[in-house]
Amino acid sequence: MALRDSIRIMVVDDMSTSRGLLMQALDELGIRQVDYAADGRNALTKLAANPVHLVISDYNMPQMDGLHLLKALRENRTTSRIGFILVTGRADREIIETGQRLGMNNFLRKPFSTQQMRACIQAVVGAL
Amino acid sequence: MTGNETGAELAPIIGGLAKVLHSAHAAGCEVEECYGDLIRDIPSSTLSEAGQAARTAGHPGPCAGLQELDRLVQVLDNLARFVAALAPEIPAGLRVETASAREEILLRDLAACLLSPAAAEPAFRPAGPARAAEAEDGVHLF
Repeated sequence: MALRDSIRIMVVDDMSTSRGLLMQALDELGIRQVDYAADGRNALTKLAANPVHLVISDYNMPQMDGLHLLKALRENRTTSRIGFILVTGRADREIIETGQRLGMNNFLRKPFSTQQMRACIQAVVGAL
Repeated sequence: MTGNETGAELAPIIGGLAKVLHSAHAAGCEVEECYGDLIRDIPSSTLSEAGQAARTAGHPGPCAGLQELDRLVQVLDNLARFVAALAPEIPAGLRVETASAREEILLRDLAACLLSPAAAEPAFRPAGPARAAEAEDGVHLF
């Protein structure tokens, strides 16, 4: 069984277009077990009940941005080992360095292609 | 700054600009939500094929275009917040000459919004009853 058949991923993005594009790209990669949340707090609630292998989260979200979500995940024993990819249109050095300090596994800069997403995911979890 | 009484106070103009940017961001969000609904119903293979066809024709493709739309909306949000935070910092009485700038504004409503005293109101108001007031002041340009 290929990894893409068993891996469970959660997409976190407040904008439905961006969220839809991420989920479409995952579908194109053959990844079928995909859940989503429209904000960080909803993601935390869902992940506490049903942990996934990998979270792909937008950076720019109201109330709880991607880095705050990452911090919350790492501080919770249930979710601390979940892989985390930050998606951002602003690949500022400060954001990336903060993410790395908090335990971010990789980041994906928008706009991205499906192939770029594949490479980004494979760098974290291995060959799909 | 002209040092005389011509032109207009800068603070209300910046306040009005913040409101217009906020409205543009809200409109962008609505457009994004519409596309989000559409995307969910399109098979990924169809989007992929459309993207390949577009790239062959020298265009970025629908997915790249929609990601640019998302980026644009985020930029509008950041800009609206920045300008709204800047407005209260502008000293009272600071004036700028607006005649030449007004000639460049082709949208009459936009000009009125930027230069009216009402534009000095905060750009971000609570949801609910305040929205009715917002609809009456002619800010909805987009």
